[in-house]
Amino acid sequence: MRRFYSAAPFKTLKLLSFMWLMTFAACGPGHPEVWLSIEQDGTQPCLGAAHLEIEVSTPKGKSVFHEFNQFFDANTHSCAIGQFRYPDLPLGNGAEIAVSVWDSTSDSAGQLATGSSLPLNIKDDSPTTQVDVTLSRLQVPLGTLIIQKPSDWDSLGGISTMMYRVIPAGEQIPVRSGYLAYAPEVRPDPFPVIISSLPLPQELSEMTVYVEAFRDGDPTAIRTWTSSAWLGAGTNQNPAYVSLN
Amino acid sequence: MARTVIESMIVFLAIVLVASGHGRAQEPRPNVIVLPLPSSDLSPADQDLILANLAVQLRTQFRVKVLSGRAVGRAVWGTLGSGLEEAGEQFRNMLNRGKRAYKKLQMKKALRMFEGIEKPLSRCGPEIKDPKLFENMLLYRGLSLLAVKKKAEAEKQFMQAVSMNTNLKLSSRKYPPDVISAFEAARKKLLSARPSNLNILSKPAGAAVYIDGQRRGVTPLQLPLYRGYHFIRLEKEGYSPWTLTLPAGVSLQAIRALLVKVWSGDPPEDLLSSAISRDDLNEATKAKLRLMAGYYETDGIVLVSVAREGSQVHLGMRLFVVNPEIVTRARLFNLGDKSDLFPKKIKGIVSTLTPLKQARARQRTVRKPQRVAVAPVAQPIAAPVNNARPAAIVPRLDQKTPVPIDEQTGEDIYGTPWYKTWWFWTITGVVVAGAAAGVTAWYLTREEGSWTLVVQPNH
Repeated sequence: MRRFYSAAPFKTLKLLSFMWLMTFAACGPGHPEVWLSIEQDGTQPCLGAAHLEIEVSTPKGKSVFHEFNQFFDANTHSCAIGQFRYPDLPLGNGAEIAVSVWDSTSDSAGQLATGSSLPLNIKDDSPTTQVDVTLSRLQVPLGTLIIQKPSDWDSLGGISTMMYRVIPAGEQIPVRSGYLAYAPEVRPDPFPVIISSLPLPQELSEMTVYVEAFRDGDPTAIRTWTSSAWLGAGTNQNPAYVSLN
Repeated sequence: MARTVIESMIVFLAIVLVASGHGRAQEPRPNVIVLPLPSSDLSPADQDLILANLAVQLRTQFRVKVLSGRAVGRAVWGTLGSGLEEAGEQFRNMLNRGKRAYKKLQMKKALRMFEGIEKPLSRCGPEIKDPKLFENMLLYRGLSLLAVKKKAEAEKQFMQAVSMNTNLKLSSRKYPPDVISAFEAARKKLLSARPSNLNILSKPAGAAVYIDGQRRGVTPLQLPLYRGYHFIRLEKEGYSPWTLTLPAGVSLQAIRALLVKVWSGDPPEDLLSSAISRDDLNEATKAKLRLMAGYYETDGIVLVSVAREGSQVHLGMRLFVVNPEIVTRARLFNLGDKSDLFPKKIKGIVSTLTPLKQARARQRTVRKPQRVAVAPVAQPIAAPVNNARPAAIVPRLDQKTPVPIDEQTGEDIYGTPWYKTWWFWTITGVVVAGAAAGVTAWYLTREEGSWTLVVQPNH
């Protein structure tokens, strides 16, 4: 009994416990990575893309991530997407990754292309996996405007909502109109605003662009910018750059 | 999942082991002896009460091993200043005067003598090795009581005499029939009751056992004891005598006595005057304390004086710690006059001995019984100056760490070892249950592994 209660065995046990804990810490839960490669087909899916939406569906729920930028090359019209990391996604079987790209508008016509992955089984000891998602442009026209920041934008404050209209010259009915996807608290400067899904005639055609800024609770626009834009597939005038006045 | 469960089990086990390991003392506990200075004006029972409480409080408050009791003082001082010899002298003197008064038919004087004899008897009773003295005291007192027609009280005395010596009989040639008949009635009454069996153990064993002055054997020993008070004395060469007065009506099943080695030198009389004085101890006295600490293999000595002033009991204390060497100033406390309040006051008094927290246990040689024949054992730090009693200097090989015995109750004053106490296992249970609950909660709520989606640049 005296020997059993001497300090030495407990020192050993404590050391063993410590080693176990260290082993446990070292062999703790894994954090595998899945590398997503966004490919494109020949439909110029990214032309006009200003908003990248990545939706990860797992049996434990959905995670949706948004990125805002110009995600295409204005000259080649190919996708230009940078690197993004989304950690802490839940492990499980049957995970799916869906990618869609939008222009700067919030209406459904602004969704330009989509693509999704095959289901994935991701365990904590899975090796790094590469997944390809090929984007295909939806049945939306290719006409695209890149609207630059107006010179007085920075002098305005408190803007909460922005609307737009694109009206072919000489006509009354806009070919596209609605709200811009504008979240001032996240991204106070929405420019360049990209409006796609616009009809793209073969010849150069003029369109009038209106952009209106609103403050909360005020139905009257505090500022309306306007400008003309020229689009023409045959003249290679797409996308067209627009400077607002 | 299986890996997760295994990991959880490992963590749980680790927590339990670490928690249980933390509850154990890693360092040896220091030993402390409580050395009472001789006291002649306080009854042995009161001294025992105070010394036992001191030991309990020292052990509780400072987690030290304590050796306390009158036997410790007796080992160092012998009978010096204890008043034992004076009490013995007084006892014999009063007994003789009582006998003479009885023979002269001066019954009142005889009874006065025999009543007065109780006080010295309570002090020196265990010291008396002549059973005839008890027999005479009780018989003459009984005869005196019988002569004044106090039959019931006379019967008590006769019963006590028979209790001390069951073979005692009165000769019909020497005593009148009415005395014989009263004595036989008392004898029959006592012996018809069942005696209690008393086990007497000692550390070390082999001590001679004297019950009421009569040698009854050596420890370990079991013997019947009839109702009445008894004086128990254990003697072994090289050790201080161990004594106990067992009051009438108290029945013990066992007595475990720790015999304390007799101090090898002369009694350190200079310590008597300086131990509880206001002055600091001089170097010579400190050196003597160092010697004593080495001899008794202790890490601290609590010098204690108990004295009675009027109705008040005073307790003086001074602490000597060996490593690091600390000598506190002597302090005097008033314990009052109510012995039932002593424990509470002693608790507060002991809490003032804070330097004891710094005491470090010395390295002790582990004795292995199988090497008895060849190995000398732990030597004292320094040899005593006066090697007057060689037999006491060489520690016995079979001597183990002393277990102090409460002389009053015969119980081990350490009480139950901590690892057998309810509170230790309660705490352990709470820790284990808490750890189990924590691990379970952690397991149920823990973040499982996750993965990271990395969107690769494509331009």
